[in-house]
Amino acid sequence: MLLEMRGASFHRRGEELVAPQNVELDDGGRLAHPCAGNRAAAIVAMMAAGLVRASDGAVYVGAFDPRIQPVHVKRLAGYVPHDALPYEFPTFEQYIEYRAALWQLPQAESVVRARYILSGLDGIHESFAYPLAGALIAQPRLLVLDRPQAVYGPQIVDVAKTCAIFSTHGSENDAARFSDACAVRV
Amino acid sequence: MNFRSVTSEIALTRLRRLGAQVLYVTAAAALFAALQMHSDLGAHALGAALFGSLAGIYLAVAQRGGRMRELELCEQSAPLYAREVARAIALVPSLGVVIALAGYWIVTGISSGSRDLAAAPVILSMTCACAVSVVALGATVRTGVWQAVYILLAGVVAATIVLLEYPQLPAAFLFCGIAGFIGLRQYGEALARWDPAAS
Repeated sequence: MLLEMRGASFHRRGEELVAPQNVELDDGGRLAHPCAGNRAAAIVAMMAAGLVRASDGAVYVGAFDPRIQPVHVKRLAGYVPHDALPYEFPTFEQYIEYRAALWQLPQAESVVRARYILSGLDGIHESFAYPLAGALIAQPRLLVLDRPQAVYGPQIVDVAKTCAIFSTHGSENDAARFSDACAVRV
Repeated sequence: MNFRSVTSEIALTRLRRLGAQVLYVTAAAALFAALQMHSDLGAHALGAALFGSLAGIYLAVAQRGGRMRELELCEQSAPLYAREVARAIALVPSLGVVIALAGYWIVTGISSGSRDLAAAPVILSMTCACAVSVVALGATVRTGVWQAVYILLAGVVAATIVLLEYPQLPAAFLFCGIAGFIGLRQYGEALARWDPAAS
């Protein structure tokens, strides 16, 4: 089992932002996970990538618990956010070099790999394509996508190759659309 | 294969992003030094320490709060220990204030002459500003009252160092070291507990 959530929920100041979630995903598998809303989808994606700790229940990524071994979890998972962030690097190459340094990867090799990945994402807006290419340069075993657009589905599956894909969605409909687009099970 | 260290990459990228702010602070420091041109060494030492501390708090607070969301998200999702990220981020306001205070002391040296320069106040003002900015970083991972408390604490650290400077110069350096060390540990621990979803 690569990703496992058992009753994983998230609270803040007594308010339940994410109801208990149960997820199972094997190596190389694909799962479009519907959530109660956009906020919940964003938090569940961050829980799967080890960025946010579940308040209750358990989350395991490759048998690592993000509460105890967040660094091990982040080595396995690549996270792609939903929001289009203000772009803070003058060039794509500088962005990749920065990510390569953070992941302790050889920079020149990472730029070549990222350009190759980007060539497979032709037509996808750079605010999604760049973080996706950035997440894939570290060759993660699990790709976590926060509310990806269904129209990008086939290309995402194409560039992810054997990497497991876990995507979160704000509604059942969105999850179904994404799974239809890239033949991901819901 | 060319690898770059995580610390230098995070610090330099953030410093480039804060380039304009560092430039403004340096220009303000130079102007402040020019206004103090008829003051003695004591007034310069006091002015540099307090101005550097204010600049340090400003540059520390500018590190977070949505200004560098993409960098923050990259750092958060990278397989790095919080203490590594904390050390790298702490370097940013520290380098910023060292640059600003270098500007201050250069202008002081030019306007007041070398008689108004001594190694101890120059080094202490920079050490003080670095310690204060590291303590102020604690405010960036907290909200509400605790954020204000950390900024106030940074101000108290600056005031204590300035008060210690004249009677006890070694004590002032020691206090800077202790405050900076505890501030960095606190910041690292707060960063490890920090949740992007809770902000």
